[in-house]
Amino acid sequence: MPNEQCLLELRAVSKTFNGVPVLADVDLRVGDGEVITILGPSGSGKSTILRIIGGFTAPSRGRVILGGDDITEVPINQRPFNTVFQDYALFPHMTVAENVGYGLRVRGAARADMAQTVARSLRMVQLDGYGQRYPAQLSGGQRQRVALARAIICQPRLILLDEPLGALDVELRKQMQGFLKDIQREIKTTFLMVTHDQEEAIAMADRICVVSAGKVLQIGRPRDLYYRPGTEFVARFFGENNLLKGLLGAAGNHYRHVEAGWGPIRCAVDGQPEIAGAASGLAAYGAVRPEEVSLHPADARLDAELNRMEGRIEAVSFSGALTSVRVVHTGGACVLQVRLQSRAEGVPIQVGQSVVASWRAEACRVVLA
Amino acid sequence: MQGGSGLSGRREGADGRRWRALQQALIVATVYGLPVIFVLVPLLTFLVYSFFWVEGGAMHYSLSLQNYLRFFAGEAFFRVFWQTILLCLGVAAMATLVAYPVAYFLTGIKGRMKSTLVMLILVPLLMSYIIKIYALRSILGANGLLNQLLMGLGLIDTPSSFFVFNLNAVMLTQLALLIPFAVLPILLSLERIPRNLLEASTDLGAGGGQTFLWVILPMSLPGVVAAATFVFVLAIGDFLTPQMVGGQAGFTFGRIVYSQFGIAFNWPFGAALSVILMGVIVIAIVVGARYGSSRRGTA
Repeated sequence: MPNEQCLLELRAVSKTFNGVPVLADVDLRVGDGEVITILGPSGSGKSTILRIIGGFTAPSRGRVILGGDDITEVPINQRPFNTVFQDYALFPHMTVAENVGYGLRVRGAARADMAQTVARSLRMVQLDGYGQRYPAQLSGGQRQRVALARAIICQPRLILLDEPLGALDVELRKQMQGFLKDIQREIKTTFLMVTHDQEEAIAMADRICVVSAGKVLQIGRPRDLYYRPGTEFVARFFGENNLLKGLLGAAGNHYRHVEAGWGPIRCAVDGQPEIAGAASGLAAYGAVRPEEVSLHPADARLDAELNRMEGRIEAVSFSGALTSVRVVHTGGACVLQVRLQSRAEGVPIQVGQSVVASWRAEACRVVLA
Repeated sequence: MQGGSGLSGRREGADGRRWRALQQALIVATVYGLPVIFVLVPLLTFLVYSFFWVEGGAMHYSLSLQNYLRFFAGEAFFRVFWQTILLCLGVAAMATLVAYPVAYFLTGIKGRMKSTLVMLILVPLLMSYIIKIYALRSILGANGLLNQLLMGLGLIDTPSSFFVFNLNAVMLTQLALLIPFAVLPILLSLERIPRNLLEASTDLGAGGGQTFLWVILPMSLPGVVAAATFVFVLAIGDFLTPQMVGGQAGFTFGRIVYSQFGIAFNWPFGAALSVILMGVIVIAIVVGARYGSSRRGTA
């Protein structure tokens, strides 16, 4: 968000349902015009965040601020937000056009203006000519687009999307991700989207807010979350990751070591002052992505700056563009997942072969256990 | 264990199959047979009877249309018939109008309070019909609660006979008796409206009144139609209420049918009138089903 102006802010928002805490001190700033994704497993409280912003649920503590004004007590129908509901919540007794135009009808728009605006919105979501159909006559993807058209027609400041693609199959979901992104670029409205699908979050979001057990664990750009996870949960949540266990070594200039039983792991700490300043001796992981590791013959001469682990190939599995390799440390102390580009002639390694795995310190981060 | 069951299965193979087929046949016969014996056969008997005729106190077992001709030609019968239909439409409309706010109020209540209130509405359905009619008659009567109340309020000076032994009495009594039948379908249809549709409506800026008018009311219409159909069908088939609170002035079609069996002993004519009544009921149900089911299906 750094460059944009702050549109919406949650300040220390907490929520308890019947004495059970669901959200604890959530702080969140949403920039004007950005796509922000709230990502978390089911039951993490991510939908509650969205419902509090939309006004459907009142927070137990904390404030919701819109452009400097406290809107915590403002009722749903007076917030300049619109929601795309999880199962679309289209009115089954209204046509597509009536559904889309509902927000205008509520505001007492003139019939002719309404028809025009509805037609324009339907064109935008590529549902030209579907106006007279009923929701039951549409496919899942089409209903999704009707719900989107209905939400954008009143030009809200913020569009809340609750698992908008959750009900669609994989193929359609990919397609709709691109579609949503295009629409967002066109209307430049802020999107706040809740999802449990990390791939979707990475594909859609300018920034991701990772929520687990009612707490915000980390907020950042997808790249940052992927390569600089702040917690073990985040490190494990996005794709495959090698978490190599050890103890945090002495502080260095730009690097810190995680002392694993089999050797030191050098990790970059730039941009992570809390890691750079952490006490040595803490339990920690050196986290490195499988695609950052390269494999060399056992007798290869390597740059001394590189992290290295000697081991034996235990498994090789081809999965299309990439080939996954499992390397076990010579002493058996550590297992490393490696992902290599597949080649037509095959990856030049075999199960049982002795190799040296290496990776750059810049691609390796400390994660406190 | 596995082997054992396999063996016995093979031994019983043919017998078992025959036994299962017999069971199937028995179930089918019961499911279709009971309604045929207890519903269809009596109805058909009635239909056949309606073409017989009586003359000079003697039954004639030859087919004739004269019962139907008598109904459509005789103005008196047709007038009562039409009046009864209007009366029952009125009862259905009023019962629905009263039941809707009750059902709406109930959907807003949660937990134990709600089940208690729903029980209170259901309890009268378990009570004897005759006792309820007597109770209502005493309320509506010359010295009844209603008259006492109106006199107490100074609205009338002498007990009014407006509420007893006429069609008003029949209407009020049927209304009171049948309201529970109207509350339930409306309550069900209101509860079936997904909460998120109401949230979506509010989210799009609608106030409470707009949400009610544009979302809740249209989506609960199937329940309203079902309620009206229920009440109409029950009211038009009722001869006991008019008999007990209608007096001389409160004559309804149900009472005419009853009198053909019980007093005039003209069973064929009674049967013909029943068939006509049945026709009205079938029409009411068909119309109710057509307008009660949403044409668009549910998303």
